[in-house]
This record gives sequence, structure tokens and C-alpha cells, in this order.
Amino acid sequence: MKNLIKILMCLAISSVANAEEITFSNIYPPGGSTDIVVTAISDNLEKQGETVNRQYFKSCYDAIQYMNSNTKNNLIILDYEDMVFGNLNKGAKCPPQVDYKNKISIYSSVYEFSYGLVSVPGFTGTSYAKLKELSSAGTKIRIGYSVGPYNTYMVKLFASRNPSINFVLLPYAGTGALRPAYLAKDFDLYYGSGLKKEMIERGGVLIASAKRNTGVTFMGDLAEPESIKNEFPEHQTGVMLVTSNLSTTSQDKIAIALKSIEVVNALKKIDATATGIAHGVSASETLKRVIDFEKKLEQISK
Amino acid sequence: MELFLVLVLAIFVGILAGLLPGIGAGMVIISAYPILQKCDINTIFFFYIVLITTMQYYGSISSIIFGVMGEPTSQPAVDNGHELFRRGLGDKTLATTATSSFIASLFGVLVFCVCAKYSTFLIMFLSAIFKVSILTSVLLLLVATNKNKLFGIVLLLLGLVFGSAGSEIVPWINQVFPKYSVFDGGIPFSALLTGFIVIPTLLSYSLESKPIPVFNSSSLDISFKSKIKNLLDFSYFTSTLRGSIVGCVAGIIPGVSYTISSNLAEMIEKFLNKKSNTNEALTKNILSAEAANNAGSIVVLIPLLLFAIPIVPSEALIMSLVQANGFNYLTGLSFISKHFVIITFLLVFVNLINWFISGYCYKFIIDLYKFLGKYGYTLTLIGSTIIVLITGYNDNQFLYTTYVLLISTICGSLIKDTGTKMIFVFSFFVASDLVPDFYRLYLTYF
Repeated sequence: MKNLIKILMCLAISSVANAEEITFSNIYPPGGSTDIVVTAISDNLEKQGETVNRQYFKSCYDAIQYMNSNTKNNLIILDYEDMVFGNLNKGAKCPPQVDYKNKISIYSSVYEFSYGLVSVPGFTGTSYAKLKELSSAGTKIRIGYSVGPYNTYMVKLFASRNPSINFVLLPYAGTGALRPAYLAKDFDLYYGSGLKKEMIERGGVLIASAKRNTGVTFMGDLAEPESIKNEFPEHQTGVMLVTSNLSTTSQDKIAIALKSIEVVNALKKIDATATGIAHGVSASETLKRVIDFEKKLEQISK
Repeated sequence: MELFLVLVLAIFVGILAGLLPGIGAGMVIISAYPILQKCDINTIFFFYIVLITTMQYYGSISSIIFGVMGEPTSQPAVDNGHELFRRGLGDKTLATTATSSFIASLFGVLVFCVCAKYSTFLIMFLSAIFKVSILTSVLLLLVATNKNKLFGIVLLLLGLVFGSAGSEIVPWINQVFPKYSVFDGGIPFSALLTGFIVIPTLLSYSLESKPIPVFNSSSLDISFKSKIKNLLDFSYFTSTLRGSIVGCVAGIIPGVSYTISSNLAEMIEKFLNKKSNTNEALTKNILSAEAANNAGSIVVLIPLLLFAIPIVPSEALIMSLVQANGFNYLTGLSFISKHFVIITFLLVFVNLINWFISGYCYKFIIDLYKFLGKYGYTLTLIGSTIIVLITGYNDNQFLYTTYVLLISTICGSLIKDTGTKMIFVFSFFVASDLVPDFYRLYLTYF
């Protein structure tokens, strides 16, 4: 009996010694899509015996400061566009990498989503031709979008490629602000992802997609003159986990969590596609995508 | 069980805040902000509904008995109620005031229910133009009713600028607050407002040399039968009804709301009574004023709960809390439809409890007031400061929070009038909605 107690005590002590706390830092308000996914990841990690610490920050600046003082096993979950790895740095939520005490790298992407241009339910401009028609009659076409470097570039680029349509670009803080605004018809077209499904269900029309080969007109193909079509990039974006120092054990456990049923269910809930290391997309591949897109936008914006 | 705990806590806090002059709903929310931040939408709203309903019953007690005017709504209670008390009608006045407040609250609940049931057609209230019109009119009315209008405008603009810190919508904000700095997350409002309003106010009360009015509560020891008789006295029902209507109409008007409705109702009653100074006239005045106050406090919830639009500063604080939890117009509508019965029940039940406590158990309230008069301000002051600093530490912003608290305390101490400060508070809290909406309207029309 004594030996059994000794063994149990040794096991308990060794498991405590081996347990590593993993911190997830979120720079977005609680209750959003990133929070739902982090909850799912945390639930699975806790099942695996890990201790998870979840922190909310009012800004990426604060999250980076925290990471600078708590480097070990600290991950920040954020949109691709909110941390810049290349040279583009206009409007990203996170400070430029040069300001970081420790180099931050991508651990893995988590999920991706597709962007599109959707007409507000009830708005008559449900096609490119109709938009042109309305504009030629003197109507301003208001596009509502969530503020951020990629979104802003994309809508600005789209508007600049279509000078015959009188577009007015209206930035909003996020989906929370966009929803009541579209209900009140404060804008006519929505560019984004979060409200796309909801608006289509309510009678909105997906006029164009920011991704090729989706069965819907590619936004880049809506351009004047037609010769500039090819210069329009696809809007490939998603959410990733970044870190400055993650132990190998934690890396493995998070990879398991990313494949778990908890995460699969969470992604279903937010209508997103799973990606990342658990699905064969390496961190370096995600980094390449992010930098490529930054370069493309940088090039176009010049 | 959770709802019950929230109910008990909110009633308790509401009684304390109502009894202590100068402590309004806004100040309670600011003090409790760090705790409420951790709560879900239901808890925050239930707490607020119970708090604001409860507070209206108790401000008049200290006004009637001690002649203490804590806030503008207490003026009619001081003028009429305290005079009645001095004429030996304290017990009757306290009981009938509670009854009048109760009837008016039920009237307000009825109006609330009608609006909640027929709200879907009111979607137009969400538009930027409507919001900008309402919020701007509230701000302008606050400035217009302020003694020093120029200073009011300065505070209004400062509130809009500081409240916009960290905003990514309006380009010029980055010129004022550098991007990639502590300002990215905005200015910590609990620290700013605790320093700007709570600490200077509580400090001035704590250091006040004027003693709490001496009062022998044993003179209010009347029989059970007499208390019940007073409580069920509906002699001046028409005055109560008039006050309720005034409260409901004024309560929904931004900038007027329940803070001015009691004065408005008293004015109307005085006009009808031809400025008479008889016991009957004074009773009618106070009953109408208190009715307006209570009905207004219920109706003022309609724009907040149905349209997610705050029209008084304390609602702006609540809005910022629930917005962080994803509350908006859509979730608001579902919140109302999902909790309609609970909210209605809560409003009726809480009013019933407060009617009884304020109209029957006022001796206990008086004793509590006497105790708090000595220690309440100091305890609240220390508690608020500690809570803010702990929150700053938990948010990894201890130094930043401490600086903001210090600077805002200095600024808040230099401005004596709480009404003037509230211009800053309101504009600070609506800035995140108002400034981007203004900017988008500018982009659309210019």
C-alpha cells in the first residue's frame, strides 16, 4: 500500500513538473469567432492535461507587451492581416516586427474564410450591370466594410478599377457595427465575410467573390478597362496563431487540439474552413501566403 | 439563483446609492465597471434595470427627512417633502411618496411592454442619421442646460476626442494618439471616470465639515395600521397619473429623460395648484414629481434595450459593457423577446419590494443613512480606487491606469460641478459610436 501511495505521489509530482501552462492571448472582444475557436482548443488541451491561461487584451500593442514579459508558451490568435511580416504596414493592428523584443513567428494558421461583395437585402443593385445603371442615374453606391489593411486595399482597388461607378467606401469597426448598419440600409453593398451568409439568407445577392473559381464572378474580373483584370489579387485570409517561444511538447499538443472534434464543431459554428498544420498547411506555407499577398497589395498600391 | 443574487445585490447597491446624495447611477456603474466587465449581457442588464429602478425610491427619503438634495431630481422632494416633514407630516409623506412612485413605475412598465411588443417596425431608429441626430441633440441639450456653455463645449469636444482614442475608423485620431502605443486600446475609462468624477465627489463629501443633520427617528414610530393606511392612500391619484404621463413623455426624450422630468411635473402641478402652499398642494407637487421620476426611469430603458441607443450617461456606460459582449440591435431584439417576461416580472417585483421598503421600513433606511453618513463616502472612495488599480494590474496596464487615474483626479478636482463633468462623460462614452457615424455621413454626403 505504501509503495502504491509512493508511486501515485511520484506520478502526480512528475505530471505537475511536466505540465506546461499555455497562454492564449486574444486581441478581439470576448464572444467573437476567435474566442469561440480558442475556447474549443483550450477545452481539448485541458482534456490532454494541459493548463490553459486565456488573456484578453484591448489592443495588439498590449498583447505584445505581455508577450515580451511572458515569452514561454504564449500564443496570440489574430487575423492574417493584423500582423505584418513583409513591408506593408498601413493599418495592421499589431506594431511592426522591429518593435518586438523577441521575434514572433507563425505557429499555424487555424481557419480561413472567403470574402465577397454582397448587395444589402432590398437594394436593387444586385449585379455589376445594375450597379453601373444606378450610378449613371446619379446614385452613389455605398460599400460597407470592416476596417483593416487588406479590406481597405481591396475595396479601394475595386473602386479604382471601376471609375464609372460612383462608389463611396464606408469603414466600420467590425461585424458588430456592420450588422445594424446594413439593417438600417446605411450602405448598399457589403464587402467582407462575417455577414455574407446572413445577408444572402435575408435576400442579399453575392455579386462577386474575392476568390477565383468559386462559381461566382471574381471581383478582379469586374474592371474597366478589361485589360487590367489580371492585376487584381485574390483575397486569401484567415486566422493564425503566432508565438515567440513555444515548447515542442506544447506544439504537438496544440496540433492535436486543432484536429479535435471540439475545434471542428467550433469552425462549423462560425462557418469557417479548417486549415493549418493539422491539415497539411505548414507555418512556412502560411507565412508565404501572407507575404505574397502583402507584396501584391504593396505593388498595386504603388 | 444567479438572477436572485443579482436582484439582491442590485437592490442593496441601489438603496445605498439612492440614499447617499450625489451618487447617481452613472457613478455606481463606473465604480462597478471592472466587476461588470466580467459579467454576461443578462447579468449586466438585470443589474442595471434593478439598480436604476431601486435608486428612484430612496433619494426622496433623505430629501424629505434631511432636506438633502443629492441630484437635480431631488429638488421637488426637498422643496415640498421636507416642508411637509417640518409640518409634522413626515410619516404620511414618506408612505404616499412610495405609493405614488410605485403606481408610476407600473405605468412606465406598461408603456415599456407596449413598445417592446411593437418594436420591429422601429428598425429605422438604427440608421446613422437617427443615431447622430439623437446623440448630438443629447449632447447639445446637456451643453445648453449647463451654466457655463463655452466650457461645456470644450468638455464635449474633449470627451469626443478622448473617447475616440484607439479608433481605426477616423484617420485624424492617429494624429492625436500615436498608433502602436498604449492608446491603441483606448483610454481606460474606469480609471479616467473614477478619477474624474468618483474620487473628487466622494472626497469632497468625506471632508465636508457640515455634519449630517441630526434627526430623532423615534418620532416616526407609528403603528402598523397607520403605516398601512398611509401606504394605501390614493387620495391624490390624479397628480400621480399626471406625473406618470409627464415622466413617460420626458423620459424618452434624449437629454431631458428622468433627470428633468420630476422638475417638469412639479412645475405643471404648481401651475395647476396656482402656486398654493397648503399641505394638499405640497403633497400633490411631490407626488407628481416623484411619479414622473419613477415612470421616466422605466421608459428611459426603451431606447437602450430596443434600439441599443443610450440616452443618459449611465446607459452609455452600460452600452459599452454589453457591446463588448456582442450586444447590438439584433441581439437586443432577441434579448427582449427572450427575456420579455422576466424583465416585466423583474420590473414589477422590484418595484413592489421597493414600495414596501421605502414606504413601510423607512425607519431602518434612516438608521442606515445615519451610519453611512459617517463612513459610506470614505469606504466607497477607498474601494473604488483599489478596484481600478487591481483592474489595471490584471489588464497588464498598471502604470498606464495609475497615470490616467492620477491625471483625471487632478482634472476632476478642478471642476466642481458634476453636471458639467457629465458632459464630458456622456461625450466620452458615445464617441466610439458618434464620431465614426459622423465621419461616414461626411463621406457619403460631402
